[in-house]
Amino acid sequence: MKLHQLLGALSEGVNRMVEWLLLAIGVAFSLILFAQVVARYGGHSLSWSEEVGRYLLVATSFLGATVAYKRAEFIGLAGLGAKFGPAIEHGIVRLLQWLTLACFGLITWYGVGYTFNAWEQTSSAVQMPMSLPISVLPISAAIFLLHVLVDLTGPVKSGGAS
Amino acid sequence: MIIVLLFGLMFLLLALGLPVALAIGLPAIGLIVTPGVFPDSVTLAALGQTVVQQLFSGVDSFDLLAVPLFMIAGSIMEVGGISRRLIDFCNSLVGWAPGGLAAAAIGASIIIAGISGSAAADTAAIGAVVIPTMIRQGYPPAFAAAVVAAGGAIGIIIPPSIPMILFGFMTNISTSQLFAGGIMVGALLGLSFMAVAIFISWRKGYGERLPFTWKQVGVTGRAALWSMGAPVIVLGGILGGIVTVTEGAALAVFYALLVGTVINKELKWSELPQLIIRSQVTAGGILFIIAMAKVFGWLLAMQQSAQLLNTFVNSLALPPVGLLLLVMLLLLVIGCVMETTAALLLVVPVLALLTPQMAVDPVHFGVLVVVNLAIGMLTPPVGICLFVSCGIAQVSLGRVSRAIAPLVLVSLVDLLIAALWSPLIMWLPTLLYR
Repeated sequence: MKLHQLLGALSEGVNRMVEWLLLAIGVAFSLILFAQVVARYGGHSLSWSEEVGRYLLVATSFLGATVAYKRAEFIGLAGLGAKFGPAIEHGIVRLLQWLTLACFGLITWYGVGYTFNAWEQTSSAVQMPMSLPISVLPISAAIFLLHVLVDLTGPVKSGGAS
Repeated sequence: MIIVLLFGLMFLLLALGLPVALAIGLPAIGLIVTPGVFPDSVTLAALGQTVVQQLFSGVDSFDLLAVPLFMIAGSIMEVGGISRRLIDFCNSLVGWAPGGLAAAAIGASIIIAGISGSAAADTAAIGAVVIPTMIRQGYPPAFAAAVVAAGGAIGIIIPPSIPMILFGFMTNISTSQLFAGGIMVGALLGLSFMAVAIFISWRKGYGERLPFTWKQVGVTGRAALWSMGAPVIVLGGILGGIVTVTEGAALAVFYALLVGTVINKELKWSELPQLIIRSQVTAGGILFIIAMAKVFGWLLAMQQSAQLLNTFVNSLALPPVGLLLLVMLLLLVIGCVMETTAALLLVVPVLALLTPQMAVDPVHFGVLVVVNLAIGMLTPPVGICLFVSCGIAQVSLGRVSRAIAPLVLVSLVDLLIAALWSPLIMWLPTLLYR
């Protein structure tokens, strides 16, 4: 139970940080695109805005998904497990949690490798190492792992999707 | 064999309650790294990194950036007082007729659809204002909820539309052309809904009738002028080629912000962070499905699934119209039982391959898919517009489902017209872009 509480506190803290990061990203891409329109009609197109916007979207996709998971706001169907009684439902929920853990474990593992491999490559407009935008994937997958571990070490809750 | 296993596992995991993104991604990732699926010469590390590469490239798109931006615009609009002013203006125009407020709610939904890309946001924005007023005026709560839900569903047909952006992204079809194609069929649905609402209200004596005065039209029109300017600027900019869809979405955010804070003075700056975070989380949930669908699609492509599908469809020996109608029927069923975005992301990559056999323009097909899914938003058991309006009106899903039946029926007639008479959808894209 102590492990569950410790992981829970860590998961809450990380989730709050990600929420504020999502706010910053949302404000950033809104401002960048608005500035792009103004700059283009002012005769000075921003060559980097499209690329930065794309990478901010990648961050929104994966970091936003971790918060959606944490809030149980993922899109899904109501599971059939409840129809077979609490014991079977319990087993199904645990099985799905283990499978989810394995899936994000794989993405974290191979994501770290892919991030290191991409260090030498640079993006076309900003010339930043591609490892920077790609690193969002293993980081998000690791956050997913943390949230799933909280679920695994705690009592079974019915349903995980909305 | 791999394809059967892939789809079988996906449906099993969905049925067991795993969220869509994971139900798509888990079997695909699992099969990719399973020994024997790919030749032994391909290392496990290479396959694992291919998964990560596909996940990244699945959402590395400038066009998709419009999705969170339109969601932020929709959230701001919900609380920025735009909907109330539009309803007042529409009511001053049609409030004299039986069922006038119901028709006004649908009219306001059509206008608001021109700035927001989300049907749920439109339903909430209009419903929160108009449903309590309709109930006070003697409309049954279930009818009020049904009318607002129907109006809200138009939100994904009249541009901007998040499902159209997703369809365009997945099929490499111009989103601007899809937007142009949605205008006339969306207007047809809106007018049909208005006609049905007025007819039912007249037959059953629902609601109050307001006297028509030009003065009232002028007063409410002036108040709603800024709100009505939004679709003109955003849609005009996109369809006129002045801005891209994504830039138009950014303009929508700033326009909604300007109207909500400076003009209407109903949006507090302190509310903004939570609105943006909420939109970002919702967008993340959808975009994550797209990323997982990219891995799923990659594995399908590796298994030559397009050829197999072609062989299967050819074996049915259906004429093009028959195949089109069969696909529409399939989409209606899927739209009833699945959430719109999930349904779109699951079936479109497969069904879009069939456009040559259906002898239909891809833009025509794309708009038809979105109309199908919009109708799905009005039908139980999974109808997001129904859920939102039921929550506002505080009535059961069963009662609203009965009240909405005539509106769903008329929307099916409109869908059939749009499927069989292509100029309804294709006239405007052809005029503007071809």
